[in-house]
Amino acid sequence: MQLISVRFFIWIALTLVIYRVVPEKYRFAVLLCSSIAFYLLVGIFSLFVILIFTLSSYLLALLIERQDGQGSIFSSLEGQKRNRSGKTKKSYPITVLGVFLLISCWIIIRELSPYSAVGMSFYSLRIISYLIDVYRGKIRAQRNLQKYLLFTSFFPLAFLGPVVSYGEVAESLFKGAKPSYDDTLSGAYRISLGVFKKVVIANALSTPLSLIAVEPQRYFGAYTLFLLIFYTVEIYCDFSGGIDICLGASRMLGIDLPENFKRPFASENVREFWNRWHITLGEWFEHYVFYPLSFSKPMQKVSRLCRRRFGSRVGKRLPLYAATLFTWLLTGLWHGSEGHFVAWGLVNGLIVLVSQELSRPTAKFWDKHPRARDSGLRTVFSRVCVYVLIGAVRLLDVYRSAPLTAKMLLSVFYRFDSYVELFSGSIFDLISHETLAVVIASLVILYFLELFGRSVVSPSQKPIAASFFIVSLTLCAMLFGTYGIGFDASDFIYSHFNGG
Amino acid sequence: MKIKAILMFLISISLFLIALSLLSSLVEPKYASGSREGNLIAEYYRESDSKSLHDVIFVGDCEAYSTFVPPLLWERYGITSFVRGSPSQTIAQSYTLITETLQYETPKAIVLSVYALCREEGAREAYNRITLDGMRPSLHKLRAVFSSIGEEESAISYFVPLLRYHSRWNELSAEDFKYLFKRPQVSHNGYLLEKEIEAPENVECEKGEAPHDLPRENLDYLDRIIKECKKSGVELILVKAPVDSWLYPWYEEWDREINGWAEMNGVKYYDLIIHKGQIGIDMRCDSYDGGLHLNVFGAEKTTVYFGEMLQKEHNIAPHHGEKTVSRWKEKLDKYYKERNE
Repeated sequence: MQLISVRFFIWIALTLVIYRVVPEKYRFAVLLCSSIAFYLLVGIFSLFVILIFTLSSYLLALLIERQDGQGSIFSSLEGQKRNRSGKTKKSYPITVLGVFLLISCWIIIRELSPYSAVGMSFYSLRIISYLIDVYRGKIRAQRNLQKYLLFTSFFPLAFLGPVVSYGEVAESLFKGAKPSYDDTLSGAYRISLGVFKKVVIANALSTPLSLIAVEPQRYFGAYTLFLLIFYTVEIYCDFSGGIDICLGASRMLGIDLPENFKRPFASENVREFWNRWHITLGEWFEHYVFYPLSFSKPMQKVSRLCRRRFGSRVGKRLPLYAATLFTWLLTGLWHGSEGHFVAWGLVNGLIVLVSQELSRPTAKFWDKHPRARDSGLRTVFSRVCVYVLIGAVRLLDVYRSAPLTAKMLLSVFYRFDSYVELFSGSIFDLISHETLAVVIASLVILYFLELFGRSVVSPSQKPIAASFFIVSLTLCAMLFGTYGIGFDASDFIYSHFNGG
Repeated sequence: MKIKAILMFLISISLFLIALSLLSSLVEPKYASGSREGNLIAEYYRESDSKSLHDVIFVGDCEAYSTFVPPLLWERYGITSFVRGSPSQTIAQSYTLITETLQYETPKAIVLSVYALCREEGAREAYNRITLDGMRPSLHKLRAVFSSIGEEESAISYFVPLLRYHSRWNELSAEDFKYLFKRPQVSHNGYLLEKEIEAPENVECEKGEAPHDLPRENLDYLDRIIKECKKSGVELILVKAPVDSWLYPWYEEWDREINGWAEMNGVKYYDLIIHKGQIGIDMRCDSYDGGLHLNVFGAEKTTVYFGEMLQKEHNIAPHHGEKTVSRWKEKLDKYYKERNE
């Protein structure tokens, strides 16, 4: 089963109907059965893996809690864990071992297994965060295996996330509250928006951009610039479209999941961009890798050493930079183990650090030009810079080779012959006039829908407008979308970035 | 609030379905020019809606709709008929069309063109579309879709054509708008008139043995067809059109197999290839595509010959009631108008 498929939508509809009809105390069971059956339909291997991961982490969490006694007090994850009396927290080795084994299994399955386990990259993070939160005493271990299984297997989260923690979703998952009219309308609106983004915009760009990407010896310079601009659009519509469908499906069941995108192209610096793009993944790595690493005793020792050796200014920064780069390295590895993913992670980490260092001098520059700053020029300039920078790094995904990416980016600045060729109409050999017109018109529509979304707290405040948008977006997707025989409409770009 | 929400939902769904239906009709190919075969299957429903009944229903692939001329059959023998034919129609699709037809009427006989029995593989998507898109949504269509579609095809797109033909949105022509609500009539009760003459190029070469037996699955469908016919009290007649080309060869082994089956089931089988001489077929002037199919001249000869068999061997009596006469006279006039243009 794919995310954009008639089967998936029928699955959501059936689940929703049964969910609404059954008494409240059985709703949790409906979600659980639906999720398990979903994994069964996706593939027996996927079901097997999630059951193994769930059972082992369920037992591990109970063991962790038992080791420390109930209601363990939180202390940060650094060195030997200590409870209030100053004694070592007993569950530390088990927690570390458990997390290590989980990650190892994930890597083995992803790299060595001939089969793919759908959703593994996402529920692995859910499980790791669950174990760490139990260890920290932030949450109690779930004693009910069925409820825990629902947390790990909830089907809207299977394909693209978002990455959620136990505390964020447990209550609404298990409560079984009846979805309201607002939930249904908002969810449907979200799903139609997601389908529109994916099928009309992302899919339309997929083929021409792939053609440019696979022949770098033919398409360079202006074509690389075209790719830079539109690949970001493609990946945004592809990924956020998929997230819209997942969030919409969940919302229709009355379950609110955290947002994964918040107008990322409104960012005025790179750090802000990554706080608006794939938000839940960034937050996960921040809470479970960056902060624990930054505040760990070894890192504090390194910090003191650096300050003594290099002075306060540099010494304070070095450990922070190391933690940042390490976190970004892991983020890259989470996407994939190939070299270009590692490069992607490190380059992004580097850009974040450089951007942070340049923030003060940049602010000083604009302060010297208040008219330009206040006229909006600064905003536009910043946003364009962020877009181009992020787009350039993204080309690592496309060319899958750091040296080739660098070469293609350089060609933008000196292969002027390619600009003549592109603007003389050769781009229409790759993408037809009509398709390009549809893509541009759809981006404009998306902008106005964004304004609509911001003008209301929820679509149910303007039900006629919301219903109109749902019907129109769905029909537009069906008519102008790129899908069907010869095109794998369900092939999300982002699903290529991790093992499942 | 609840009532308002339900009302809003119902209105939205209704508007959606109306728009979906319109858009589907708009983007579906109209087959007004070019591949007119695309309209053949759907044209039957104009007859069934007007409660016209037929003595004989011809079913089968291109050999059916290029060989039998219903207006002529009526003119000479008073036998009313319709051809439910389509290109590369599989025997599974023929079975579904027969069961569907028997829901609308009970003819005296169903004449099944047997060439499809020798096909080992299913039809390509393009041919599935030509046959199945014309069928009305029903359980019969659902059965036909699932017995026909390939791996990459989507069953729902046969019921929501927009999902398949949406990419035509930038190829729409005046024809698509002109025939938005009603398709043009391209056939004469299912017979597709072709006037061109194109003689075969190559000298006949030796055929050799049949490459394979008739697939078991196809014969199973034949069993199901005879069962349906017997249940409805309809006579099944098997026929092989008088064409045997290098592209669509027919073998004696297959003839023997069908003969054997027909004898076992008490069904008449006519291999008109053997009767070519008596029919008077001359492929130098009776084919429109180099000997692959009959043109109108060849079809007329075959129809006259076969019609006599239907009348004498199968006691299909002529229809000359007033309503029938006026309706069929109109069809006949239309037929001769196109034939003589």
